Amino acid sequence: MGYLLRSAHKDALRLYRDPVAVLLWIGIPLAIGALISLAFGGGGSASVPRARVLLVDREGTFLGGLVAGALSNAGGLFAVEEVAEEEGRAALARGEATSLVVLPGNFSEALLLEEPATIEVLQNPAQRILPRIVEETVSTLPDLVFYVHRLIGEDLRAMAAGPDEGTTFPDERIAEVSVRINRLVERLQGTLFPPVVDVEVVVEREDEQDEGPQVGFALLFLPGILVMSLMFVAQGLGEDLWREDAMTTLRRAAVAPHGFGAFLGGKLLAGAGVVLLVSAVFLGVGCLYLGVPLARWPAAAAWGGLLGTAMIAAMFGLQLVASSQKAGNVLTMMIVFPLLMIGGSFFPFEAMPGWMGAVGRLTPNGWALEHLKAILLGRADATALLAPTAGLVAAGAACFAFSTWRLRARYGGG
Amino acid sequence: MIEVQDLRKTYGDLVAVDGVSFTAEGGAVFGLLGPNGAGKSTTIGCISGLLRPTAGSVRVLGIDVVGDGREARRRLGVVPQELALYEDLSARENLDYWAAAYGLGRGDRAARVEEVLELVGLSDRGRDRVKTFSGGMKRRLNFACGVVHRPDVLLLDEPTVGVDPQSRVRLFDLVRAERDRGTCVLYTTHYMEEAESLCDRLAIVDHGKVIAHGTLAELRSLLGERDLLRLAGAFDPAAQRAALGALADVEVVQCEAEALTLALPAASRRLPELFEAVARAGGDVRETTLTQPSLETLFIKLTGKELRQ
Ligand SMILES: Nc1ncnc2c1ncn2[C@@H]1O[C@H](COP(=O)(O)OP(=O)(O)OP(=O)(O)O)[C@@H](O)[C@H]1O
Ligand SMILES: [Mg+2]
Repeated sequence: MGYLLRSAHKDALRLYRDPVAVLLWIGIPLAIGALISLAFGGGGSASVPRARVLLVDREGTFLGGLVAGALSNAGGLFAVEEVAEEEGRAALARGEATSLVVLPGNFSEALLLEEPATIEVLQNPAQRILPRIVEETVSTLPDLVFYVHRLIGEDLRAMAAGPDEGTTFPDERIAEVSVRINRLVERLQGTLFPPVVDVEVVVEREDEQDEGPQVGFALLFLPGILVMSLMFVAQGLGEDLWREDAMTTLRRAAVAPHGFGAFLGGKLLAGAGVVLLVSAVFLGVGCLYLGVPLARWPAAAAWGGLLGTAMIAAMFGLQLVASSQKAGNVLTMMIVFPLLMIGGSFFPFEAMPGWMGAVGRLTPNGWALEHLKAILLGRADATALLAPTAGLVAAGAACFAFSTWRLRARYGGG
Repeated sequence: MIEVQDLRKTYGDLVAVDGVSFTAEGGAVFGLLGPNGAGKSTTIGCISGLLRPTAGSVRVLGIDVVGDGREARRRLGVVPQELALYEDLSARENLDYWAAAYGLGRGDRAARVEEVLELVGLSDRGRDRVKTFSGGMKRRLNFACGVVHRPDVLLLDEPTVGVDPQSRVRLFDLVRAERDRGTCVLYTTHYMEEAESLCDRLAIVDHGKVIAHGTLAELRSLLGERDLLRLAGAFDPAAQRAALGALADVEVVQCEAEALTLALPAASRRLPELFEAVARAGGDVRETTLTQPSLETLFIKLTGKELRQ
């Protein structure tokens, strides 16, 4: 017991003296979190978004498809449907869609020849967040076209006019255009002009309507960001085994009579302190900011600490399966990123297509995230948390036992 | 006391330790002398329980290290070849941590840590982080971490690598102090002078095998007080072997197209006779080295190569 605590103290001291690493693990997810809440204005009153984007293409050229593609690629947040105009307006009026994007009849010509054009984005006023994302995404398209025009507009127009009847562009002409493009790129680097293609946003209806249970939008992101942070901290702490390997202190520990159980246990304990601290501070600030009752804070912080500790044990195991630090990093990253992506840390389950959310909730981090959310929303009482807590402790203990066994197998000794 | 019996350690096809046996007594320094890759660290690894022997037995103070590893490790101190220190911790914190790892209680530790710091001459740097230490200071701290729990058996793996002469003398004093305390010290090195000045008994190892062992005096007598004469140049091996073999008391240790090695008593007085014999057999001498008997010459005699190459 004495050595276990001494080990924990040693690792805590080492972490304390290398604060940059710890700050990075915590800082990266926090920065992402800050960006997200800046982008969506934070606030706890927005309603759960359902992102159905209807696209009306009055012109009916390939450009409509491009816009649909651009929207579909915007983080998988939207389901884009091309519809006829009347049908789309009716659907929006019934509150069945997030936005209606109307591409004008002169759209392709306007883009090609730099004439003013208006893309209408009609919003569902009952939703606040996703319509804004749609608007932002749509507005990047003319921006892009505008800058391309600034660079090679003249040639674009010439090319748009096509070669003389029955001929093709001669090689010299193509070479000439390439040279001009290069020069223009050099000359215009860093120069920005406002786009001439306007995006006019028309909010169709002003009347608010009730959308069922009010879940704070930031509250959908906050637990996910914490889980991401914990995952990074765990990943970094797992890597510490390689630092000990490089310092050969692991081998010295192997020949000490106390052996690896307490050695690794101490490391886990120090890590548990870090993740508990991260959870407590992060959730404390989060609760205050979002107006979540502080009575829910201790349970949420404890859950975060426990989750982080189990993650550290799992990371130990992964690093000890890998044959080198590099292999360990690749292995953990290959597991961490997909898990974060689908497990609700990058995008809340609520914004995912139904099947994806269902799968995401089955991932270990997604499962833990749902419980954390339940605690913060006051939907989980102590008895309901008993079984999940036992499960998390058991999983962590299993990972720890596996790691100790791997450590012995690799470094001999006790 | 360390008893090593027919110790064997293989890595796949590579035989790192090939049937090594020796006994090291308490209150004495036993040296393992050998070139790079001879299997010294592997042997130490097997004794400390870091490596599992492929075959053979290792007993420390009568305890089988494979069977009862924990008890054996409690009595062992190891000073590894690589510095095993926490760079972000101070010297004092390092010592305190390793003392705890070796089971020293909290109360006992503080005093012992100060004592050991004093011993290795780092008292005034105890609060400083290890990453600010010089190489020699780190070596001394590495040593201190291995003896902080007062082990009965001490394994030292090339503890003087990269150390300046003063630090080296200091480390030697530390090793002798441990020996005088009654500790059984196993000391590996590839420095002849270290082995000669420090070790009471020695085993010379090469390619995982013990090729000679005994006290320094016993090993010297293996050479029969003969000097070693090495000639470099161009030779006809067969003719040289015949010509030199005919001379009284001359042993041809090595005979190749570009190198001749001879062992003989009082070689300096017989140089003219030897050169004449070599010349008569068509040899052309470009370089001559005469070495008095030492572990170096013994090693050359036993293996036909120099220890440090
Ligand atoms: N983990 C390992 N895997 C494969 N081969 C190894 C391993 N460890 C040591 N060896 C090999 O075993 C042989 C003995 O190595 P060892 O480290 O015991 O030599 P040494 O006498 O300590 O040398 P040095 O003076 O360079 O420290 C070498 O050929 C080495 O390459
Ligand atoms: Mg070695």
